[in-house]
Amino acid sequence: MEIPYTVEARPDTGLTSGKIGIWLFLASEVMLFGALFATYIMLRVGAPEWPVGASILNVPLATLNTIVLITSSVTMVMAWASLMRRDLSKARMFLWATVALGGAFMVIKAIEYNAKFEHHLYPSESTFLAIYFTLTGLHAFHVLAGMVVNAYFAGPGSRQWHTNPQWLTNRVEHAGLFWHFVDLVWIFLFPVLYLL
Amino acid sequence: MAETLHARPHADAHHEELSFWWKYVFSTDHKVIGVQYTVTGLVFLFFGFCLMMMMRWQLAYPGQALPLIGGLLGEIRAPGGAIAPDFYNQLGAMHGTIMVFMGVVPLAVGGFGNFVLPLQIGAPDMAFPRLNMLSYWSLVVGGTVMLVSFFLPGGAAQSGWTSYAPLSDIAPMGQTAWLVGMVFLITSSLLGSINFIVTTIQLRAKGLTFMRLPFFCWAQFVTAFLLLLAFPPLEAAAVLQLMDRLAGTSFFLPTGLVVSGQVLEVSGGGSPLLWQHLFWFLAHPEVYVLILPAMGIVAEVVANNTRKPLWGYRSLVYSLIFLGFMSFVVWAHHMFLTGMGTTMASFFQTTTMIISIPSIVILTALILSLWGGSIRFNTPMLFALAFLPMFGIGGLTGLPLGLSTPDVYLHDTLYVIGHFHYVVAPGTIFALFAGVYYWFPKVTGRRMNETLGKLHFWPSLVFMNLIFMPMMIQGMAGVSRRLADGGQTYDFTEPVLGLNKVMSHAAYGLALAQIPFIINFFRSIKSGERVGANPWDATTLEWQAPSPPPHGNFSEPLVVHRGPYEYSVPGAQRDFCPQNQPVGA
Amino acid sequence: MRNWLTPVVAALLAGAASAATISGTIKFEGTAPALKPVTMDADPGCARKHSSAVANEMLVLGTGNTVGNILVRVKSGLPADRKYPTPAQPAVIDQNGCQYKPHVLGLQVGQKLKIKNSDGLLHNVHALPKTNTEFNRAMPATMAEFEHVFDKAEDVFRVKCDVHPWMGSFVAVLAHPFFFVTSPDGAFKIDGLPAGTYELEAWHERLPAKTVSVTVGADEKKTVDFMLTAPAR
Repeated sequence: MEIPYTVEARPDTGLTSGKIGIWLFLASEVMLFGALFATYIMLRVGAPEWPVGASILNVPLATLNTIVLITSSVTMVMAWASLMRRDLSKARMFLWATVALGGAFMVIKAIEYNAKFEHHLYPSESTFLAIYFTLTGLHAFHVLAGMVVNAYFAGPGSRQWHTNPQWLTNRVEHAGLFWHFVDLVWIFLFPVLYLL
Repeated sequence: MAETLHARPHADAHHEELSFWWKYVFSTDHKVIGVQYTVTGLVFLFFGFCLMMMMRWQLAYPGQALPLIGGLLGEIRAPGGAIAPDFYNQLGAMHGTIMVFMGVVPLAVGGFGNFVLPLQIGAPDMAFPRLNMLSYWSLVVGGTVMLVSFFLPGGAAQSGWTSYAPLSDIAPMGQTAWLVGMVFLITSSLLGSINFIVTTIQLRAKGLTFMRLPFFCWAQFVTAFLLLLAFPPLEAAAVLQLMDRLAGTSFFLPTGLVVSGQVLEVSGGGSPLLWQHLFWFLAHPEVYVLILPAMGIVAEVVANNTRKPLWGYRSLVYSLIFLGFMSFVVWAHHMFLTGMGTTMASFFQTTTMIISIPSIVILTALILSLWGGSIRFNTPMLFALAFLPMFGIGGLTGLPLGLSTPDVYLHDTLYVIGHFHYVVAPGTIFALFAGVYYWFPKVTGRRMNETLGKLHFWPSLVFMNLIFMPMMIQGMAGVSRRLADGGQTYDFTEPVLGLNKVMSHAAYGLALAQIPFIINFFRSIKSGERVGANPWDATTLEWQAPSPPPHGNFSEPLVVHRGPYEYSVPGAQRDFCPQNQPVGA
Repeated sequence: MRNWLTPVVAALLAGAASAATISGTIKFEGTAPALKPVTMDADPGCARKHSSAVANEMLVLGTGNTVGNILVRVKSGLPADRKYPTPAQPAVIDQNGCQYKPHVLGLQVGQKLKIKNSDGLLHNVHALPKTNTEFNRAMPATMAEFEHVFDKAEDVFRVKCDVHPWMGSFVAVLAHPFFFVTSPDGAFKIDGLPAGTYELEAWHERLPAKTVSVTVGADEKKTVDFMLTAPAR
């Protein structure tokens, strides 16, 4: 017997196993980043003084990064939509675009981090910097992971289209859900760290 | 409609014979993985038990050289063969860590869950077999890191299994290894929990509605949610502590911390309480992870060996779900002595009292299930029966701890250790033994020997109580936990100090009592009495597959027509009706 | 610690007959701050060993404000390729009265360090070097001594006892024998030096170190005094 519902939905739940799987994974990720945001709150509430984010951090660069990530979420949706419309080459193009935008995010992040280190602003300097680097660092790690996954589906994974197009469509949808989550975390990170 | 070919060419679909590595080592078959988890869990349980025996020697005979192995530990861990205080702390921290994260959880969830769950729901395997394999190997990597940490300079982690900051922040290298090991262990559980939930939702056989699921499956299902949602905060905390230890941050280091007369040169501003919150947010649900699968196993064994349905199936299920929810809002009852105000203490005290209700309902339902039953006293049933009063004692002794006022006295005493060991040792571990004896025929196609089983059970029950009841007495006398000399330095412990010898000798007795089990286990694999698919005359679906089940489990999809415990149905031909037996047949 | 054997052997091995000496006195400028005595209440076994208040070890002064526990050492100026023989005599630290005696110790690379426990109580010796390997050894009441060797030169590091938080000592591992730790009389003497220009440093665990450049000819005897001042608050 083969394992069912990997590609087609189970009638009574209306879902594929992969879909439930990725949503559960995202639930655990919410708890992970949630714990770090709770850490931020606890440290800030307990601190006698807390710097205004904009005085230390580069708001314009981060704003640019926000636009980059939101755009990348759009291209991610377009990739999945293209597969739904059975246009593989468009889908691959949009996937590569998403990867490229993710790369742009990482580059801008690297510039930001570098600028901090040049001014000897290391995580060990203050709890503000510590939580800033940890939150954005873990987030950047997730961006990188998403880039790897998307690159796989844009590249070698896309060959599955010819044997099992539904599989590829579903997987790109799941990857998209992850990518949107990573974007959403940034949407919370940006105002909390940079603006508040 | 797109073709419904499968994502990855399954080896048996192409009828290739897998190589040794893919068949036995990196297998994606849930049964192989279940056995791997079981064996690994049992090995780690044994190792953790050995650590405890060393500790108990030091407690009974402080400062005396360990017999036989004292010399082997080296002059740093055991100068003159007697355990050094910091090595005692390593033993304590690692005993807890190994038993909880590398012993009980892999065995209860990874072992039993993996092997039994797909069979009980009539599925060919887990929803994500490769993820399953990755989960297991992640456990192995994490466990290896933990064990190797003993050989690092400075030794293994030694700040308690709870790794409280700031001590853990400044502890030797072994603590870093602990954190890295935890990341792998947490990843293993996270991936596994996703698998369990999706499998239960998606791969149930036709006709197997949620309210027809065996209680074991419900228990694993709720446990999986606990693992999924409670572990990530600890993973975050581990990252933060790694940052403190390696990147010089001060997440958990308060300003002006003085270590041995010198102010620590860090930015400060951190909070040791933050670690406690993040740790206990996981660690409380974790204790329900330790008990729920055990309750699941006991339920199966009790129903089967009373030849009647479980009492109060719905109450059991609703209690389980309610327990799962409540387990997330009680964590600060581990922190009553941190200086929280009476408002917070009242809140957590209340939620803790409320959470005892579903536990009591479940225990009561299991006990009531015995009433009017035609009880078969085989080895699995003996262990399952013993679970009931032992868990009862464990649970009841938890009540004074959950109330903030008596907890002021009892916190961090041996009473706490006695309480949780009652729940986990003669509680969960007995249930796990019941599970081993019960499902051994399904895994191997052979029975375990009943005489050796009883030789294992009775002394174990006696010695467990001889270890942990005196421990509660010492705790009530005020003896603190984690004292390397057993409390010798304090005058007030004098009346209860003699109990240390009683407990240690009982621990060695308990060790000896496991010998019949080990002999039985290995002998039965080779030459146990052969059995068919359903040696226990059980109703649940795993007994409809051959013993052992082949790859894919069932030759054709099962259809379920009944609830899980249709024993002694009036008018039926036999005293049990398997779940897939059509009604009116 | 005064190591009289080494300079003689060093001088012989050096080939040259040069044995210049630098000596002097270390003094503290200003009024000594009132330091809290050491409290050993946490361990009655330790408290019992003292009938009067235990002076704080951080600043040990003699008559005329001379300073003890100063490590005077040659920081630079020695010929680069010269190797100095390892002394056969071990350096000794004793845990006595729940204090490390001496409070400051200099020893050479490869020289045996003998750590004694005269107290008959549980101590543990936790050394915190950064270059050498950190170690942490329990010394139960029954263990009278153990030995350790540092195989790399290292600037001053702490040794502490995890059982008794007030216990602490300072150890430096040097590649040469040209160092001295003063007693409360503040006097130091470093001999057997080849001719040359040296940077001499007086190190204290809390007061800022003072460095002086000294030139000695062959067999010359020079006096160099140090005046240490309290750090700016």
